[in-house]
Amino acid sequence: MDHLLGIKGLTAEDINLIFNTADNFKEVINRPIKKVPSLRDITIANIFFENSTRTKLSFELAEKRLSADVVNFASSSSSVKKGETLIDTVNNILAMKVDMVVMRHPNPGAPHFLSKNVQAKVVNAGDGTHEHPTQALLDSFSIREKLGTVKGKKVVIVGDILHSRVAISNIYCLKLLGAEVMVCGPRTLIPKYAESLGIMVEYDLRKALEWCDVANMLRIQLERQDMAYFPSLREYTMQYGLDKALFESIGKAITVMHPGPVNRGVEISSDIADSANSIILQQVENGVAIRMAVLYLLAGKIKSLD
Amino acid sequence: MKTLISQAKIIDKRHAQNGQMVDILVHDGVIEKIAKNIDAEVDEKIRGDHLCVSIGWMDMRANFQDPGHEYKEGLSNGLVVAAKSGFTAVALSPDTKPVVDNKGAVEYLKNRAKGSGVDVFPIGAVSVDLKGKAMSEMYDMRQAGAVGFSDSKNPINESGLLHRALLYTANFNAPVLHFPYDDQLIPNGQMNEGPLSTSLGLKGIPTISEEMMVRRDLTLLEYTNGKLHLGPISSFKSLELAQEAKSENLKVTTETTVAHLAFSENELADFDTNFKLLPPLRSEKNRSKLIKALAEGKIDVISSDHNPEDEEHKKLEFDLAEFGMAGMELFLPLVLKAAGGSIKLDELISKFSIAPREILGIAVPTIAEGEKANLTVFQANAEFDSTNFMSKGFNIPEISKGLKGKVVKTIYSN
Repeated sequence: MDHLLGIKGLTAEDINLIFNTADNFKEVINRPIKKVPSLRDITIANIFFENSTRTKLSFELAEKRLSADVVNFASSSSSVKKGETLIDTVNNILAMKVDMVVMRHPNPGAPHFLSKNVQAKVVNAGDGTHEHPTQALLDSFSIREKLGTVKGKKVVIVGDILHSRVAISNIYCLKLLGAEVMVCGPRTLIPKYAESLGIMVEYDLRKALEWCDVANMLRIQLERQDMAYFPSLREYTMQYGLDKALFESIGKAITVMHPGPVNRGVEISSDIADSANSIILQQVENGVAIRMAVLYLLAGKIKSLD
Repeated sequence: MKTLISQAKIIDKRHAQNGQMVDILVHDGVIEKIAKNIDAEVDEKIRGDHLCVSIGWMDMRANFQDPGHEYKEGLSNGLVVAAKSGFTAVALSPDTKPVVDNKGAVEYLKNRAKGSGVDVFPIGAVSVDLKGKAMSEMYDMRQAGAVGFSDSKNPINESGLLHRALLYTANFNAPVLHFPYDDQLIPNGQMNEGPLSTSLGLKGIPTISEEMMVRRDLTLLEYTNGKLHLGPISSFKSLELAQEAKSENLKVTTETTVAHLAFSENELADFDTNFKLLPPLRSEKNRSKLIKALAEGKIDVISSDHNPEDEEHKKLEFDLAEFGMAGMELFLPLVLKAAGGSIKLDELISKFSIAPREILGIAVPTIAEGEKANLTVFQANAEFDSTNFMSKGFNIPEISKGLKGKVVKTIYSN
């Protein structure tokens, strides 16, 4: 692969290569000296047209641990819309001899568009409601770490599937690795054609939990919704919130995930988020290792071109 | 000036010699003689393999972005493009800047077309400034030469406005052209709703957003007994609804675009904004049902829906790019590729020569001695030349090589 635009386009072999590389980097970041010189001559620009704290921090840490030079650019999409085009913005940054671009953008397909129009490796750090490949990779990597394998596991993704890039990328990734996937949420937040992605749809959280090995509880992102898809957070939590009482009544140990940041008391209660079944913080740690692996493998492509 | 069209097959379903090979002699813009063989001294001789001649074609939906955005096409260049594409008449959409919602704007378009070899038939706006509120002076525009009324791609959401427009225009026998699209159901839709939009994360426009509006429009039509033209239609179900209304003798006609017959949403899999259209390209299954509907006579008109855009409005992130395609020059090759095998050539040609004129109340030219020449000469089997586009539009889609369909010449002076 020349870019990481999405999970779509990757093969299971690609993903396993990323995982095996990430295994090594995870070991690296747990050493007293957490840095390796792999990307010493590479400059990476993190271009974020949409707010992000965690993903940006995670990428930046990954880049620094690989000894890359890092520059950051943040802009609201509206200012770009009014003036400079995306291609111009990125080309201006590339003119300062940048090798790779990590981009978050509010419009689906923006990194694909960019990759065809600029000379740089592009890593998609989330494009609107389309894909968020590194999140999906770190999620599957975390399942593999916790349960030994992804293959054959039953994973339910709960919440706003309609507006979720995390859901789409996770679905592709989990299915490539042989997991069974279900989505669960209010009917207003499930795409009408969800089943065409080769997954099951369930509207009852209890039934979904009874079925699954892993529950990935998505963050309710009110800022991504352009209208009211449910009447109140209170009512959402009543139907789709995971709390201790519900969890214990299922009678089995489900692995609980969350892409963060957690709305405590909305998608999951604090006692679940902090329980031994939760791998939320492992996801964050693995995020750095996965992003190091992706950047390292893509940078290898740059060198081979030289 | 004498021109001889040598050994061309007449393609005109109303013509007594339809399907026959003839020579046609045109003298100073008038058809002087039609015969099996004409021996005459001429200034210009048009000949070629498998030559066809039909009445000059008419494009019922195009926008040359003039006035307002002349750099995207402009009227003068647009008319050159039209003639090159085989059209001797075009109906121009009113969504220019300023909007064609008054007599002056209609006259501007009519006058500018003189001497170009292509007649312009302006479509006036139903509502002032296309705002969907107050009716524009449609009677005055009709007197000035507007042939129909439409709010173009701005759907008339307010039922009362369409109701009044259908009643009001019936007085001077001009159809209301309505684009049936409920844009409130799922606002800001970007492409057809389906498995592909789900996997691309793009907001979908379901076919019911069209079908619901078609139902409403037909209900209003029945109530008002007006004259309604629905288009562009993208869903085959809309055509069935309209067909049912036709069988109840309602005055409704339907139109789809060449792009909707030739392409499906699959073109969007890589976010190609040249295929971002309104109404959106639908599924491949729907496309084949459109072709079937065309063969069954359920589609009255095929238009180009030529909408030239510049690079700045198309080479963008998908959500930000404008809708539309600058496909007029691809009209013949695409229409032949999509439907050439499913419908007889004379029937097919009538969808963009006879039908639009009949719907808009324009005299249909005839191929007869003594008549003013209004002809399109073409070769259905010759290879399309994809190297020489005249349109300024950036949004001409890339097409596969080896498409058939070549316009040789249009013969018409105005």
